[in-house]
Amino acid sequence: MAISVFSRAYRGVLTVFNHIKWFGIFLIFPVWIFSKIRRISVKRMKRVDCQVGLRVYKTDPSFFSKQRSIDFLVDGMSLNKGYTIFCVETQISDSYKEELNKRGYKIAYIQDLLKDVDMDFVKNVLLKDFLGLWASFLLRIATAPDVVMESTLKNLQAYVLWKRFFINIIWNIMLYTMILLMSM
Amino acid sequence: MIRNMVLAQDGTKTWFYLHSRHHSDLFAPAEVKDQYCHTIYSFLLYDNLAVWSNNIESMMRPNRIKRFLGLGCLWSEHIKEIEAQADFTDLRRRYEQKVKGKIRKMIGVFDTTFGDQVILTSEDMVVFAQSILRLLNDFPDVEVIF
Repeated sequence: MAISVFSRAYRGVLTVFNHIKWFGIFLIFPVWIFSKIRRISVKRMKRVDCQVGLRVYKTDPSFFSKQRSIDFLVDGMSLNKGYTIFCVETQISDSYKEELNKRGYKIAYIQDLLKDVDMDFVKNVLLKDFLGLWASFLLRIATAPDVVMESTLKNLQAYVLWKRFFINIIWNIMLYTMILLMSM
Repeated sequence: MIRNMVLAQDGTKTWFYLHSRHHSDLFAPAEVKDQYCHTIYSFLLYDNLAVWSNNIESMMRPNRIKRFLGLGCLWSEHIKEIEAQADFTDLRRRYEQKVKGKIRKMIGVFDTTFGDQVILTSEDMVVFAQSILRLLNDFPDVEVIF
């Protein structure tokens, strides 16, 4: 069956609209990133010493699931809460947060890491690396497919957040691990 | 990928564990089974990846993984934990008395996802459980931990 002229026209308009939308988002992206900052410390932030990072996310094998309960810090010897940090990468429920807090684990909420930053981070990562990368992409991104624009934005955000994690939050991390739990 | 690149810059080693062997390639036609790779396993960049079996390893090969570790079933540690429990030892002793023989083989059985939104249904799991019972009936020297 042939695709109607109306459907073709509608699809064309939608494509153009989406392209303009993503390019607009790309243009204001630095403003959005900088708007996340709530406080800038002049003094360099003190970092915590952790050797193991465990990824926590919305659909992970959580600690209090009705079906299964998992705690990686089982024996407190080979893995212990002294040098392990739980990195919450997505939004998780309040009860999940409570459970982590109750156990006294070190937690880093990755999405919130830009709230407090220091001058060092602003200067070296945000102004130098991030804006430099953004500007270099800007010259070419207008003609790129939408999916490239979207993934470039996500990658830029991830770069900033994880740089912040290393520069201001933590040092000496040796290992980062995750378990994927997904029903298929 | 970006996260793991930043981690690698700082000298951090990254690990990825697969919790399950229940991937859609199990249900794929034989002729495409070997080429199967799910989108959720694309663009992975890890130093180490713990897998259950060789065919999962081949499925993950298109990714940038430095080292594969075939660890078998990730949940099998539960078997060791259960074995150490006094209740279990007592249960096993009573069962051996009942069948008047020694248990020679122990099989760990792990269920998987089933329901209305996934490939396997409740009926499939009933068949699965019935098959385990049949196995136990046919081989009295086999013990199953489920």
